[in-house]
Amino acid sequence: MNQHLSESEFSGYLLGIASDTTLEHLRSCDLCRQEMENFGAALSAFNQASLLYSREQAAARPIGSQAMAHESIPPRRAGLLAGPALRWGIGVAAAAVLTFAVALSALLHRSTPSPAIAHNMTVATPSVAAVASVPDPAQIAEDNQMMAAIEAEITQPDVSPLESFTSFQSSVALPDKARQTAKKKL
Amino acid sequence: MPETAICATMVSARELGFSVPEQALTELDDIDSLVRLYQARVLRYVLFSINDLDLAESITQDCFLKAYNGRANFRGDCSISTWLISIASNLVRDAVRTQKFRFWRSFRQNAADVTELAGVLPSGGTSPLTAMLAHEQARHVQQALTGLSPNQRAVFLMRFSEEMELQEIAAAMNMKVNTVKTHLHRAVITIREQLRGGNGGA
Repeated sequence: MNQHLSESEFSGYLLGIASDTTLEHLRSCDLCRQEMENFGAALSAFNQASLLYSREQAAARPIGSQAMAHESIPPRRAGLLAGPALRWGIGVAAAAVLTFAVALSALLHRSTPSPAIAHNMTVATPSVAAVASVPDPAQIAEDNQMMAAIEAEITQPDVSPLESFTSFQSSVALPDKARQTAKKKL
Repeated sequence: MPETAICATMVSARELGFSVPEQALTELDDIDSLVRLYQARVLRYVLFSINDLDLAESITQDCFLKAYNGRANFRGDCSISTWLISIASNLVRDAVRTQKFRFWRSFRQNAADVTELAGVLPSGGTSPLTAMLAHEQARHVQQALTGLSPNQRAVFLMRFSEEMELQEIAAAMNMKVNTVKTHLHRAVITIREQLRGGNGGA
């Protein structure tokens, strides 16, 4: 029996489905037997090393009943507070109640002012009314002046970036070379 | 055993007429002893299936949680270890499916990190040369595993690390036995080629 084991026969032996011919060959052929032993030794070394490695990792970060306790309990709680939709609804209702309370409080304060505030209001109201009804010519002139200044400011044409740069350039004393470079870039 | 078979029904295996060994039931009822006995093996299977330690730890924890919650459905027709590896296999498949991009990226990125694996081999009682050879062999197998497809890697680990029967692998992977044999055959050829290359043709 000179022909060595084929890949198929080799893997067949490893899968436990070797034929009698394969077994017979392995008994008589040192080379094939050696190859089989080498493969087995490599797998054995890997299995041993991988198990030890996994044991080390498992020992470093153990899992157990305590670690898994919170996961075995369903996170969703039964009752009214369960579910995001209900929680959202409760939030909206709370906001509405708060808004109503603030509005009601403001309304009550407005309808029943304190005596001091009521006094100030009665005192101030005629003076404001007087100012509004009888304009002071000096005040009118001052207002007109201010309006004219605003109008002039608004109607002034926009300064382009180039103009603002050149005005900046002229105000800052740049070296000639830098100025040339800046102009080229523009 | 497909995951659906484990979790789909709430009727216990005993109620369905399966005879579950008392010892297995006791083991399954004590989550701490279950973890203590099988965590390293499950972690090894998951870790070398996906090559991502963080994800492997998360999947391992999920596996024990599922096993514990579905312990009433353990039929006792295989060992607890095989049952756990089957659950882990389903979780790995889900993780690979849902995080395909991340899976491949991390597989390549972390490939070098697990070379420390060889360093954990005990060298006591053997000559330095033998220990060095064992380190190299473990490293070569680990590297060769990265060249397999996810299915080939899964069946290879089940067969040669977890020593599961072909029928058990077929049930765990939801495959026909012949498909398992094909995957194993290709995996063995690839690993042998890699080992020959890694050993300089030896």
